This record gives sequence, C-alpha cells and structure tokens, in this order.
Amino acid sequence: MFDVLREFETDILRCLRCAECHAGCPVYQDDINESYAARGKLRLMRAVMDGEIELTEGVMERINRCLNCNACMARCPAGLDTDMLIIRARCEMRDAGIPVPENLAAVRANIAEHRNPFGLPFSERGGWAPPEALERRSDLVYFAGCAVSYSQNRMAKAALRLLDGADVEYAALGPDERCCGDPVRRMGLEREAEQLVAENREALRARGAKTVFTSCAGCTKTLKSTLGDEFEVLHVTELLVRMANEGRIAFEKAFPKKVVYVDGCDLGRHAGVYEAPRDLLARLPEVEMLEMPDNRDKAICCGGPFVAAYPELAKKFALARIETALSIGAEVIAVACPTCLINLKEGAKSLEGDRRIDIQEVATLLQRSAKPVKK
Amino acid sequence: MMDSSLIDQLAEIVGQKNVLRAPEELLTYGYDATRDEGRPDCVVFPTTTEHVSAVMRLASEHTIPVCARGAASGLSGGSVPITGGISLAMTRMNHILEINTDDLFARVEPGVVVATLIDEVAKHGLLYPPDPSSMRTCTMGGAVAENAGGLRGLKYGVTKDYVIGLTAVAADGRVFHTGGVTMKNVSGYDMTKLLVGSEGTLAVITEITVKLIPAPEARRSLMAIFGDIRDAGRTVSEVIRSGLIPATLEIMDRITINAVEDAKGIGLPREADALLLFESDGDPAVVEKEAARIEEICRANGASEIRVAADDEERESIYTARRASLPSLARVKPTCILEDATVPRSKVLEMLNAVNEIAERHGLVIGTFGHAGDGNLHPTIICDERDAEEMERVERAIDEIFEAALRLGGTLSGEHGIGLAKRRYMERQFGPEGMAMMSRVKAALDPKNILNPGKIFEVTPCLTS
Repeated sequence: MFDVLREFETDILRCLRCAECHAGCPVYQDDINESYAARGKLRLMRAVMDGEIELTEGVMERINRCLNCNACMARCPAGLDTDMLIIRARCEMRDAGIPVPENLAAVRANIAEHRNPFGLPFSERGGWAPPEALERRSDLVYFAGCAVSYSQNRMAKAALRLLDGADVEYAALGPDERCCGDPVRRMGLEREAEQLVAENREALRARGAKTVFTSCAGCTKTLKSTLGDEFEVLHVTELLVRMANEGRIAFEKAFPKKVVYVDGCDLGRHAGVYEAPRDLLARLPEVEMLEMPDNRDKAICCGGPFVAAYPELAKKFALARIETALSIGAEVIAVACPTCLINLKEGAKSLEGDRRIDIQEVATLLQRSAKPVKK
Repeated sequence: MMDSSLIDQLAEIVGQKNVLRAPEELLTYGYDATRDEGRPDCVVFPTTTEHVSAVMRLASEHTIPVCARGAASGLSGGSVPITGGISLAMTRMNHILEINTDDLFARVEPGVVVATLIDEVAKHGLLYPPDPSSMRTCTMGGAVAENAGGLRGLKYGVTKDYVIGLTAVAADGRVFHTGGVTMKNVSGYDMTKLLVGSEGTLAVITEITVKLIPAPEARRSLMAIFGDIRDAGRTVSEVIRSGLIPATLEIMDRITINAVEDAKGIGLPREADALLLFESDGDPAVVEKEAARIEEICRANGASEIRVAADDEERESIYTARRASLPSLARVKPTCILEDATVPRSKVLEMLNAVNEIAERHGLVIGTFGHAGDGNLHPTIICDERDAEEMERVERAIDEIFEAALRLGGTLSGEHGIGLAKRRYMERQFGPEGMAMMSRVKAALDPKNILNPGKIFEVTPCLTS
C-alpha cells in the first residue's frame, strides 16, 4: 500500500522531524496529538509504504483529517509538500477500492450527477447573472464557482455590478459551468476531477474566453493550476485591482471601521494571491486596516474545508480565528472566499453582545462604496 | 511490554482521552528531530501535577520507564522512548499561569510553547530572552529539560539563566519545589540548576518560573561579508576582546551561503567565504555606538562589504539569511545531521578549520553556521541515510568533530543536550570520575532508573559505581 508514494520517498525522507508544522495546523492544535500533525502523518505514510504497519482505520482517519490548507508546507524548513502527499495517499486509497469517507459520499455523488456538491439543478446556476451575459461570447468570462452560484450569490452580484458600473463587458458561464473539481480531487478522485476540468475547458472555449475571473478562492486555485496553460485566470480581486489602477473604479463612500482581511488558504498559499484584497480594502475612505498575527503565507485555516467532513471541527476552528480577530480589535472580518465566508459566519453564530463581529466578503464590501468611472 | 491493565490504570488517573495506545499513535510518539527512534507502550497526557505524581507512583511501583516529552523537536534524542514504557506528553499542560509585572517573572506549565510566552510577555514590554530556532513549536518544558539556547545567547545567556523556580515530581511520585520567585536565592542546594538540562532523567518538571527583563528599546542589525573565513574568525575574536556584547553574532560559511542562495536567491554573495551577522540592542544611544564600533572592527579585519539594516524590513532580510541556513542545507540531500559542539570563543576559527578538514578527509559535505559569538557552531552534515557506506563516513566524521571540540577545550553540546546522540562521548569529556559523580546523583534521585533511562549515560548508573 502507498506504493505510489515511493516516487516521493526522497521527499518523505527529507522531513527533518523538526515539528515546525505543529505551529500552523489547526488539526494538530485541536487536541495536540502528534499523529495528526504533518510530521506524524508523514511518518505514518512511510510506515505503511514500508510495511511497518497496516493501513488501519486509524491511519486512514489521519489521512482524511487534513484541511489541505498547506500551512505545514509554508512552515516546513525542507519545503515538503505534505498536501500533495496526502492527496496522493487518498488517490491510492480510492484505487484500492476504499470508499470516500461517509460524510463526503453525498458530495461526491452530487458532483458526479449534477456537477455541483449540493445536488442542485444546472438551470439554477446563473439566475443572478444579467441574461445577456449568459448568452454572449467574450474575452472575459466569469466563473462563479458552485458555492457562489448556489448559496452566496450576493458575492457574484456585487462583483458583476462593479464591472457593469465600469462598463466592462463580460460573459458568465452560468448553467454551462461545472464544479472546478477541487472537492473530488481532495477526495483522491483525480479522474473525476480531470473530467470536470475538461468540461470547463470546453465551456470556456465555447465562450471565446481569454481571461477567466472567479469569486471563489478554491476555483481560483484549481483553475490557475489546471487551465492556466490556456486562459489567464484571475481572482475577482485581482481583476478589480487592475480596474482600480486603470482608474475605472473608485471608492467614495467612507467605511470608518477597523477591518482585518483574513487570508483564505486556497487564495493565499495555494494561488499566491495575498495583496489584491488588501490593496482594494485599503482604498476604502477612512478604513483602518489591521492584520491577524499570523497572516499571508502563515495564515491559519478557518476550517472551511471541513464544513462537510467534520462540521463541528470546522465551527471550532472558525471560532478560534474570530477570537483572534476580536483580540486585535477588529470590527469587520473581510474574506475573499465563499467557504471562509460561510464557515466563519457559522462559527460566529455563538457569539453574543459586544463579541459579535461583522463578516463580509471583499467585493460585497467594496460595491457599497464604489463609484464607477465609466469610460 | 506494559501489561494492558496498567495502561487501564493510567487511563483512570488521567482520563481515557488522555491516553493513547493505538499502534498508529504510538508510532508517532517514538521520534524527535534526530534519526533515533523508539516505541512507547502508551502515551499519557497529564493535565495536572497530581496526575504526574500518580503516574510516577504507578510507574515506580511497577518499574516502568517514563520518558517525558514536549513537542519532540529536540536534536539529541532526549525525548525518544528507547526503552518503551510511558511517553509522558506534557503538551496538554499548556497554560501561562502568571505574568508578574511587579516582580518580573512568569509562571508557566511545561507544555507552553516558548514563542507563546515570548509573545505574551512582549505585550507587557517584557522579554523572555532564550529564543531557540524551534521556539514557534518547542515547549518550555523541553527547553528547560534540554537547557536550550538561541540566537540571543551571547548577550542574554540560555534557558538556565532565566529559570528561577520549578515544581517537579520525583521518580517515586513525590512533588517538590525548587527555587522561588526572588531574584536572589541561595537557600540550600541549587536544585533548580540541577534539574535544568537534566533531560528528564532526574524528575518530571510540572511548573516553571522564569525571570523576565525589560524589552530593549532599540536594535540595529548588520551583515558583514568576508572573502576569507579567517578574517571573519579574527573579527569575532576582536569584537569579543574589545568588550562589545552584541545580542547576536552569527556566522555562515561558504557552503551554507551557497545553499541559502540556491534555495532562496536573496542576493547573498556566492563568492564570499563567510558572513557574520550582528545585532546590537538596548538603549538607542548605546546601540548606535556599539554598531558603529562593530562596523569599524569588521572593516579593519578585511570585510569586503557591510550591509546595515536601515529598518525592520531590512533587518528581516538579514535574518532571513541566517534562519534559512538549516532549511537550505536540508534541501541539498535527504538527510541532514546537525551538531552543536561548542568551543571557547577564541577557538572558533580553529574549530571551523577542523570541521573543513574532517569534511575533506571523509569526502562529506558539511556546512557550518551558528552562534560564533558564543563559540556554539552547528556543523551540518548533509547526506543520505539510505547510503550505508556514506553513513559510516558520517559517523567517523561526527566522532572527529567531537574530538576536535574537546581538544580545543570545548564541550559536546552547547544547547541541544546529550540525549542519545552524544552519550558515548560523555566519558571523554568528563572522565570516569566525572561520570561517576553524575551517576551518583542520578541513582540517588532515581534509584530504579525509570526516568528517561538510557539518556546522558551510556552505562546504567548505579550507586556502586
């Protein structure tokens, strides 16, 4: 078992066992159990690979209980890509016929049948978009992502209104859009993910896309790495910065609040986008920008990737991030990822009184203050 | 192997959720940052001193080895449970109990991460100086047990210089206190100092009191580049001789510089033979004066270039070079063995030469960096543990590095501890009588030899020795 990891044996051996990975890992920090740290997981994968132990339920649980947030890699002196190794291990588990964890089975089935994790119909996928955008071809195509399409469509509306206001023409994939493949790829279902990538590639070609922009951080990560060879892939904040720098969008309404931008792992560590959301927020008149103690590549995951698999942990991790934001005096948490938005809002539900905090998505916040500059 | 009914009894003491016994869990409690590995029979997470006491009473009654453990980021095998038994993981005792800003001390449980304490006291304008490279992950208990050092050691000393009181549990379960919260304290034997650096072989530490100092107001960092490492060595000696005490005085050799440049590309001069990094801190006027004097000495000793950090960002970039040393060397080959032999400060250059000769003689790549200012070098051997023949040469090289350090009047370990890695050299440093004295202390406090057996001593200590 885990023979696939042989290819990476030298990488696994490079683990210095220094424990730096402990620091940024919410799963390890949760009950301070070494077997859930990246160092422990690497040791377990090596043990299975060498036949030292069997692939027990316990080992599988540890392979499954990883946020794929890449905080370990950001802190790893040897630069080990534990995230990739974990996904490879999951692939091999799937190849060996081990089913995906029970609480992810519905997500997988929904993606297979409906091309989104929620099992909702294609037809509902672009209801929020201007009808002409759903029809037209354009160099610039909007890829909303499943979470934005079906549950957080305020994010899409805000982003597109900002573009509309600046007279920027774009197409929206709407019902032609498919899940980007990230959820199934993280389950170790590489072929299913590739199929979705191929379908999205075709849909984007059919619209004449040259540049694809998306409101979703997970999609940004996946589209940059899988379709970046053919299309320019931008997170919506990257596109908005470009527009703002060109003078096509400006912000006039004051936002006199203490705002902390909380880096999402997919957008930050995975896609390398740290500055665009900060740059935009800082343009809001009278805003006071704060930083989390651990930010950018050292940011700590909000727990969003566990929403389906380990909802209680997801909530707990979210609450911990909110507590940190409160401790630095933030009044507003700004995020640029629908999963962070959903999960942090869920985590904040238990807060009362002056410990309540406003959680906003960047484009939504900006749109309220924006003054479009038409060409 | 421990009887499972004993493990059940341990679970009764600390609670089921604080005992691990599944094979996949035990496997991950068998190592630290060295290549040594063991396998405990169970992992126990005490959350109170009373838990530790009850665990030790049971262990003593049944003669079960107990190996206390923090984050297991150690570099000498100190927390590796080579004889099985109980891995006593102190990581869930992780509360800061008190930060006293009137008397300038802090009381912490052993599982508190060092950087957490440093960050918390900083909020009060205070400094806890020992800053081991692993401070973001290593625990106070581990740092005390191994007497960890750090980059600020030259001016501020190491962990032992800050620990003023301890609560500990003896091998038979008795709870005792050492030291106190006063700055001066000469009542009786200094049991605090005895326990600091004792690597879990004399007692289990359950509470630590450390003194704090006011945080320095200003700091100034500079990097000096040398075309000849001998000039760097002379510079170190002259800085020390001229009475300057920078907080940090670090060295990186040519191999390290090039490894960092390969990994990070931060613009270090590849042709340089050595780099020195300095940091002065304290009163702004004093810092200014000290930094200028250091710059002068560097120039007079042939530094080809000096980069002074104008602001925090530039300071950070200077430090990136030093912090990237080990990681960058680690990327060169799969296995990376870090030593910490330490010599008198005037012998740093001789030690660097000795390491280079040893590397050449055995056909090995050894990058050296470290705390030149306090003579604590980190020769780092980069190799591949799958290559048995190479590993034999590595072993011989390690032997010779220790020989060289001792010959120059140095010591086996400046800050990592002895553990397993260096125990076989102990007699060379202390002689049979020196070892016999240490054995007697060990045997008196732990007559059944259940506390971290096999560490520090190669031969089981006993009263008859």
